[in-house]
Amino acid sequence: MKIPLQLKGETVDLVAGIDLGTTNSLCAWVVDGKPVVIKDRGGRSITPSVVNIDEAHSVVVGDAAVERSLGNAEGNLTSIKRFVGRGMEDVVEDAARAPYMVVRGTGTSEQVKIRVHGKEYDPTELSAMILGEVKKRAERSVGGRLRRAVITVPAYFDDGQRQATRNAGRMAGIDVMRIINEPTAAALAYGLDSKKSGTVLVYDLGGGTFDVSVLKLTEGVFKVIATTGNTRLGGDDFDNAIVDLLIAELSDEHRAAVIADAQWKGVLKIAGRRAKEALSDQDTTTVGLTLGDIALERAISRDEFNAAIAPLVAKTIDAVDFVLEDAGLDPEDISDVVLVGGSTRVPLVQAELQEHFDKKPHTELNPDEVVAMGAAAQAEMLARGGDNQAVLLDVTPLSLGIETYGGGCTKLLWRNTPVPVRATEGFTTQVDNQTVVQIHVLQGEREMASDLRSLGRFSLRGIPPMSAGMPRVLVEFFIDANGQLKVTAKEMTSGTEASIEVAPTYGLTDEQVEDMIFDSIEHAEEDMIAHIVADLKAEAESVIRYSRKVTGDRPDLVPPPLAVQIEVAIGGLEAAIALGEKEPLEAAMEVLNESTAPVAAQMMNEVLSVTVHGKTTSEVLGEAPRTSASEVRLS
Amino acid sequence: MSEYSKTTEAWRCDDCGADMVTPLFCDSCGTDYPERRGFSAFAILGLPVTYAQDDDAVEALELAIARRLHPDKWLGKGERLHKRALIAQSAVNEAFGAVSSPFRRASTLLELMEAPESPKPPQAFLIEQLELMEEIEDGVDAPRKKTLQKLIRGELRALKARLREAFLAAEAGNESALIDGRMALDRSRYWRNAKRALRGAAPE
Repeated sequence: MKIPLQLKGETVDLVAGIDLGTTNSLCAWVVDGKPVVIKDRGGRSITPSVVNIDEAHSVVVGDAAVERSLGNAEGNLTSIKRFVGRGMEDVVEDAARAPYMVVRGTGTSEQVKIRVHGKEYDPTELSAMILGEVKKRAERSVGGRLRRAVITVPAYFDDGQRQATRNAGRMAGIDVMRIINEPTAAALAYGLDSKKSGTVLVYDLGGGTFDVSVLKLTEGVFKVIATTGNTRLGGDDFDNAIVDLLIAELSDEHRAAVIADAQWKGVLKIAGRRAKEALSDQDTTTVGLTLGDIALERAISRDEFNAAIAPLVAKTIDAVDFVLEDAGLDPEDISDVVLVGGSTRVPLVQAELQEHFDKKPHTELNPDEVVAMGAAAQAEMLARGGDNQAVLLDVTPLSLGIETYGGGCTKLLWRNTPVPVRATEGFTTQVDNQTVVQIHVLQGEREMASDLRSLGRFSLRGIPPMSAGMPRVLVEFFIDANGQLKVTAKEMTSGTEASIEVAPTYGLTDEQVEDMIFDSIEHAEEDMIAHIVADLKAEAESVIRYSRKVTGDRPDLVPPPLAVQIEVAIGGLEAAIALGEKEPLEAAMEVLNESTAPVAAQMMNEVLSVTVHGKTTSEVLGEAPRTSASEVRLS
Repeated sequence: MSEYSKTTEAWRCDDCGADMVTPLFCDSCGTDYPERRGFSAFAILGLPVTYAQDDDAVEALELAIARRLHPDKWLGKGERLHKRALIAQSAVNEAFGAVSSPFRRASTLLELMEAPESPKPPQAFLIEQLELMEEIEDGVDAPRKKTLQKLIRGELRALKARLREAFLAAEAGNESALIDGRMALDRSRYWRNAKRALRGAAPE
């Protein structure tokens, strides 16, 4: 991508769309009317949604985190999105499966916390770190400031999860213009490109979440007519199915050892993913793993893989049927099937969908990028405003209501109601001379208040004493175009009124968010170039540290001439750090990376080798041998 | 009854004379009409006050209004206009909620027409529903689920037809037909409940 010319003191205002994924995150913006995913110098568009925290509580994010994951598996935090805005009751299974410790939240927030090396971290805060990394990389690539963005979430996220995501954006110094559903964003990307009308089913199988939505596209107007999903099903589960096949090969003793070992867990996860990717193109793949004194080799055929994931794919098809029924449609009413998420490349998924709908699903756009592209299109639209733009009609993901006498729930708004929307309902008192009414706002589909998520409660006071049943309390729900809910209660005979902007239980208070905004203020005052140089210096120091560690740990891999070459390269980079200028830093880092590349590649192959038809790891992955020490990562 | 038989006309803005998609707000000059917020859902949408609606036409109307009214279109035009559009669009969406499905439309019409209360469903019907709910709660296997789904769909289809007839008769002047409409709607609530219960929560 061409870097726009910068005038002194003037920067590009980057209005972005961010796909904050469970496994990977992407950022896109609109260039010449077209959404484009932002790539870094090395052509990478993906920021792994990974945070790595070491014993000294130094934090690295994204590629750097993946790179450090082998040495610090206990502090490697993946799939954080599963815990954002969730209470312990919501995540029992995920918490058990996570390779790190998830603990009950304390204090005002019921949101779970993640314990790493004895310290607890808030999932919202960790998400903010990922967003901060995405922001930093986008700014560096485009040469501007990312201040405003649209962030996507799974369609089935409840209000608490949406609010937590919004807070994460704020903490990362981003003005979150809107939170939109991932499938909606995908349809937006396709719709903008093809300008057609029809009924679209978006099948979004991400790393850790599955969503399916039905959208109506009519001449520039997008409307979600039904949506459902499963926040505990995704491509990761396909990987896990392969992992299960792999560890079934081991002796009981070895299996127990492997399951208990964090490093093995990490390696298996990666092997599972690579085998899945290989099986999308190949009929068979062989996984070979060696770590410590345990070795594992296993050939997996596509049929075997298909059999292992068939129940998972069937679950997604059940959800497809559910959403069709919800929308009052049959499969033949669907004009287009849109695929989102890398795991939709799995042939069984495409075959099942093709059979179900009797048509080939769309694959024109990159399924990994389509959500970020749609989000960027929406961000641009919100930033520009005005006519002749596509309008996105969003719906409430879950029903909303209030608790009534006896623990029931009266729904004011049903799920899938288009927003913005208003709804009112009249209520009265249960006992004589009641002067206070409690309004308890609830979200969900069940009938009883105890089964529903509490979004907040407030009291309407000062009702004049009257017989039971006489006061007329009018409750109004108002949801604006951003999905923000405001609830007002008014007693009609006296005019007493009370209201709340619903702050979800699992979010954070405004003060907490303010305290945690760690980027925006300093950032705003920083000179952009200085900022880039500071980042480069930090990166350079980490590359030096890593190179020293590699040569020190593995002298067997570093023959004397190479050792000299590496020492010289380190010296050059240290000089560039002292000089503090952008180009020399970049050039010196490149030199050092090149000199350490053979060592890094060798270490990679030792730890993990996935061979397909006798090819080496790098051939399978379609990559040239690794050229950069900072890219020694297993993703 | 007067509101029921009223035919709808296109609304024109008092200030600029432009055609309006809803009597609440003129998207041409930005004038709003807060005094009209109490209008019926049908009036807000400019739809004829009748049960027999072309569902596709109603949906097309929903999109046509959104295309002109949606607050996102008004982002660059000042806080005041944006807020007016937001209020108008939210009232429009509320109105669509009241008319867009046959049962909700029936309920809205019966309220509007002040239809008299209907007698409670007979004991036999209530017992049948109670037993059905108990069976669903105890759990049903896949073939039984299919059978029940088919049964419920059939019942709901018949009730929709009954509603259509009741409203047709009422439109022809036979107001007592509304009692039958109310009865059909009451019964549909039981069947819709059973349908929801059978489906259970969203698949997790």
